[in-house]
Amino acid sequence: MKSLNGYEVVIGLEIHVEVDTQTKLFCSCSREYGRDPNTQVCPVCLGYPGALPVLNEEVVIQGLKVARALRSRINEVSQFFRKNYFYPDLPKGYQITQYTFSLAEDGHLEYQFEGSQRRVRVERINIEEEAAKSFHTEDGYTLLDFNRSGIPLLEIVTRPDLRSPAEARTFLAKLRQLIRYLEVSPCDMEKGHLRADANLSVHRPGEPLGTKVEIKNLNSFKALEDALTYEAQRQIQVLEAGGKVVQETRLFDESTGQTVAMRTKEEEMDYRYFPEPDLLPLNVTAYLNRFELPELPWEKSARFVREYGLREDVAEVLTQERALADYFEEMVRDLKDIAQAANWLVNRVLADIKERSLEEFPIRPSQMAELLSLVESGRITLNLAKDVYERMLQEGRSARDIVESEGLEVVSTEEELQKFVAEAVEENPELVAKFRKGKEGVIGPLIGAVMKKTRGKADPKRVRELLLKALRGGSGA
Amino acid sequence: MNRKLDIDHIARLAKLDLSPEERVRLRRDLERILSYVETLKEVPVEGVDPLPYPHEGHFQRMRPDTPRPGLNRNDVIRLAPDELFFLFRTPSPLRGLKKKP
Repeated sequence: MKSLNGYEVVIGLEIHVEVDTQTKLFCSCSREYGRDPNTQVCPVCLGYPGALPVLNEEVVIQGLKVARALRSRINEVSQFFRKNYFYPDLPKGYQITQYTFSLAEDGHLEYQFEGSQRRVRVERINIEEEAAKSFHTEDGYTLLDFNRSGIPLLEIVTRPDLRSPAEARTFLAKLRQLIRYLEVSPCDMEKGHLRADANLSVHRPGEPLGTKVEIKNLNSFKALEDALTYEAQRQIQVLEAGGKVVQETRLFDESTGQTVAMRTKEEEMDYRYFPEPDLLPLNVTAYLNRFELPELPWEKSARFVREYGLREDVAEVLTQERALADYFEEMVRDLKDIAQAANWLVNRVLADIKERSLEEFPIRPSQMAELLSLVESGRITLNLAKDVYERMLQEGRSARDIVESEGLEVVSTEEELQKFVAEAVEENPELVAKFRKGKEGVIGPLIGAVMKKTRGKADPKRVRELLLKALRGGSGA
Repeated sequence: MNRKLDIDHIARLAKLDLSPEERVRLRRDLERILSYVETLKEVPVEGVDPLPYPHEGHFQRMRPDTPRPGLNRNDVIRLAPDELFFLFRTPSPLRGLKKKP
């Protein structure tokens, strides 16, 4: 971020999450992703006159899960509203949403950002319906697929508590992690499961808040951060040039990295919000005990530190995804050196997992545990374990099988090692002479020579000890 | 009532392209409708709480999350004024419509 010139940036987010249900919000149409256009439609989601909405109870349950995880106050009775506007993707001419009397209000999410504990307040959580998917053609038409019309959304609105584009990104990542833990939505941003709009203003600390500008179309973490960074600079430049920031809606253009003013015709009053007469008030009392929250990411991370003695940053990485945390716990069940196993997973394996996803990762936790137990018992070195791991990944064989069938076990008899050490000393008189003259660095190539003789199967630390003994102890082994 | 009925603004919101004659006629109609609704203001409602729903104490029924087949696509598309590759086709709200030949 470029210089802020003494300005403070104030950001609030409005996040839309597609809830992972079998059916749509107000009708029993399937909402499976990627089906042929207009094959999952009915009179309700096509907006035929007279068709009546019936609420999907699963959306209520999933919404309550999010509300509780965000420590919100759940309104036992809430209400649906009509938000009226004309657009081709909205066949009824209105969207059914919540307005006043949301499902839940006054929550918060806490997280670490740049070394300090942050708390962002969540103003409200609403249930609402998705619009149809539209494609605009170059010859001035709009093509519509109503499979998406009526898919359930949760709208999560924060207070303006975020103070930088980078923090907004961190917050969105934390929220995404939470929603994935709750299994409310896979939050695949490429599929549009999670989208954000933002409000941003700038002001000098101590002065009243500046005029806010709404930015739409922030559909990736990068887009969010880039758009907010651009917009903050733009507003600062306007103010520095003596101008005024105009309250407006702007659209982020990912190809240029700029926000551009949108010609919007609607103002808040033009939406003519009014209570949805087709839906009686929503009473969620009977649903409050129909779900349980799983262990939440921050709870799991704290437990990993407490229970396994992991470093906080390692625990944080291992609990990024619930499935990864489960993998780790299953893997270390019978291992002794849990810190080593955690480091192994984070440093060696995580990149491979991320490349394909945990479901497709071929090595099961028990198989990985077998590999690490071979290291723990001293039968193979950690270095060799890396090679064995690569072969497990490629060949799908077990660690034990690879190690035993190819004789990769550490040369354990002291006798054998002593022999190799003596040979190495004898074959490298120049190095030995240098060492004895005080150039102790040549121990490296000597260790290498011994390791080569063992075909990498010795513990280098032990080889070093034996070599030092041999070199310092007089004429030979 | 609000006499400044902005017919142009309403037409823009409704994405209607009105001729001057239509504008005059619609303004007259809308004003008559609004003044009819205005008569509601004559009802004394002091001390009466707003009642958005007539069925106090009743709440909406919900349904289980079980999919059911919807409409046949051919039937649905047959009702569309215009279509392309089984997608409904409408004039784009983004730019001026080029008339279909």
